Amino acid sequence: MGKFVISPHFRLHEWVAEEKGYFREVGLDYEFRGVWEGQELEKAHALANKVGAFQSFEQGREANVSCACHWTVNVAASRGHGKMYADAYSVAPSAIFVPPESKIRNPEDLRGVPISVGYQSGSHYSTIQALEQYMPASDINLSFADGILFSRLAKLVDREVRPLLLPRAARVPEGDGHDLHDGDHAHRAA
Amino acid sequence: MDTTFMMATMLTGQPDPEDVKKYFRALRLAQRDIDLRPEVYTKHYRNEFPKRFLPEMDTRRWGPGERIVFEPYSKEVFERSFQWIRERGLFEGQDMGAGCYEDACVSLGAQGAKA
Repeated sequence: MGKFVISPHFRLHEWVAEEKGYFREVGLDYEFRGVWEGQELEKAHALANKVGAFQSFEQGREANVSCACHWTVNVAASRGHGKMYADAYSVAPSAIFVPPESKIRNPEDLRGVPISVGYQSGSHYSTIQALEQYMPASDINLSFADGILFSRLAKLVDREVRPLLLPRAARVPEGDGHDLHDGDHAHRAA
Repeated sequence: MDTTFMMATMLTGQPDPEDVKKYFRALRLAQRDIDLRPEVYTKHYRNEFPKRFLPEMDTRRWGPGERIVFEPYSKEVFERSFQWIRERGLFEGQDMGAGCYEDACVSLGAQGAKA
């Protein structure tokens, strides 16, 4: 059996454990390497329309342990693309962002407006989960053509897309977007 | 608008269960450190962001982000989530599999799933 492959994936835990020597401390013989290492992330994340987290499980992931939203892992495991680890889960803060100059101020304003999300990725399901409190499914207009995380972030900053969903810790550069509920701009993402 | 959601872990390539336990033991230690002093560690976000954003990023102002919860992803949660997806037709035209918790999930310590 080869070395245990650990890939950081846009959260702090793997980096902290590596920095503090915890993987060695627990006796793990491992290799630490990023899935996207050495790639230009904006381009690497610009996946084709309707290609997201689920499709990456279908293609096969390199790391022995990887993460995605629980919905996609749930179905991917049900389809036999791996085993869902049942002893822990995590909670990922995220939000729908719009540019500061946008006229959209309330969730109801998103009726019929294309919202950029990752196909069969956390943003896809969580946008529906949040917006179905405000409107019927037929009024939720999701766009899957802008790829995943950093591709979508770049498009927001460059004003190539309108609303989109991003992790909340991964803040939008100052002045380039605000959380939709922060109508007074008091918490403009920075 | 907040859209916080649950993440889960997938095991692929048949890793040694002891290695997986060790890995999560290390992550538990990391979670404790992040909870205690998040501002010390938010610098690590810089490791994975595209270079173009780095000059604008002041990670001292950022939050801790994802939080790992060392509680079971139970059979009830699995089945409710599977049903939620099916009801909304999010895999319409695609095979969702049987949705059998015992076959899809693995527990290396908690009750409710087979190893």
